[in-house]
Amino acid sequence: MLRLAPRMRRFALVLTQGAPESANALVAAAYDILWRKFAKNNARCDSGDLDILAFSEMVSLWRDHLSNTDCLEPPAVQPPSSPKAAILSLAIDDRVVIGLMVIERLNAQQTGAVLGISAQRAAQIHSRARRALDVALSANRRAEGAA
Amino acid sequence: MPDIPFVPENKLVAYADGFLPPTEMAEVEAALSRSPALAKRVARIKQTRERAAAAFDDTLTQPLAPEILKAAGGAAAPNPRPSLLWISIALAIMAVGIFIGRVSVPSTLSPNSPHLVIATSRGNYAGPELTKFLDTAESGQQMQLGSNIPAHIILTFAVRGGGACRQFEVGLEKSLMSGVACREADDWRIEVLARHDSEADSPAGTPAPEPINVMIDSMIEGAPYEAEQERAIIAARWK
Repeated sequence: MLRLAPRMRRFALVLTQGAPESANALVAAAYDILWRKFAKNNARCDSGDLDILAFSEMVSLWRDHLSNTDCLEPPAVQPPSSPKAAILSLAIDDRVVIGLMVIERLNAQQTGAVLGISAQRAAQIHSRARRALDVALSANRRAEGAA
Repeated sequence: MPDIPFVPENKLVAYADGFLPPTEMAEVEAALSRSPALAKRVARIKQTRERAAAAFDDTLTQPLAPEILKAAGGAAAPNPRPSLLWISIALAIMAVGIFIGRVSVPSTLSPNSPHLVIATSRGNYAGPELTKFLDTAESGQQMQLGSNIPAHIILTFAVRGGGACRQFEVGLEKSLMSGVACREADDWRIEVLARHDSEADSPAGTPAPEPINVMIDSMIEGAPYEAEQERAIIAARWK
């Protein structure tokens, strides 16, 4: 379980737009839910799908958090021309899929399992998100060139 | 005008990411060979992916927050099943006890056994023999402690926040143990000590027990020292 923590935190930072406190809290909350599920179902915690389960819980938790709170931690300030800034500037749905398919290297089927959608739908969102990312990175490059 | 093949964007992205089935892969490759514009587009998609994929890699080596470490161990859940991590830690604690009992404390049965580890109120520290070994041995070099207890250094590494630590192995076969010791003033503080899997023969060179790897992963700054760096720090007496 602990081995997955750096990846969970990396994905949490994508979700929280780089806000570190929220990312840490999100990872801790996801672990808490996973442990409860394992305890309840008497399931093994070293299954190959652990990352899918963990990312899935994190997405659900973050969506709940976004819909239920008005005191969000502000996003981290990134150097404007960095790839990180380009990713964090994307809409939440696109950011999540970029986080899963580009950064965590999950395939469309795994991403669909995390998000509770079909693999085909995940691939469509991915394609759209990649175009958006391309645009954001190009804008960064232009800004860098102008500077 | 050349016939430019049509390939949907999502297929190009899947191709660039290596997620297409082999038959479709061949189709896209055929299209790319006929269209430099498509090939250029794929190159751009790959470049975007590479830049994005590495964007958050720096976060993988950052220290984990205490709340994450606590939660990962199952501390927050009600009556959790014991995790592999906690079992490993418990084994490590038992191993320290066994280690101190069998090796560190001199007894009438083994009058030549050295004090390898000394438990203090500040934690466990290397005894004189182990300290000398940790002070002077190079990675891969085997030395004998006390009455023919083999010991060797696995690696030396810098830790976040400064300082150096060493992974070492002591003992033979079923009593083979791995540990991590960190330099603290003139002493070596034993951060973790764990016995290799007792079911296996545990020859030297088998993977270190899980608590050791977890500990090193959470502490290490950059790559382990190269031989030259290690020799230099030994010569400088770990200053």
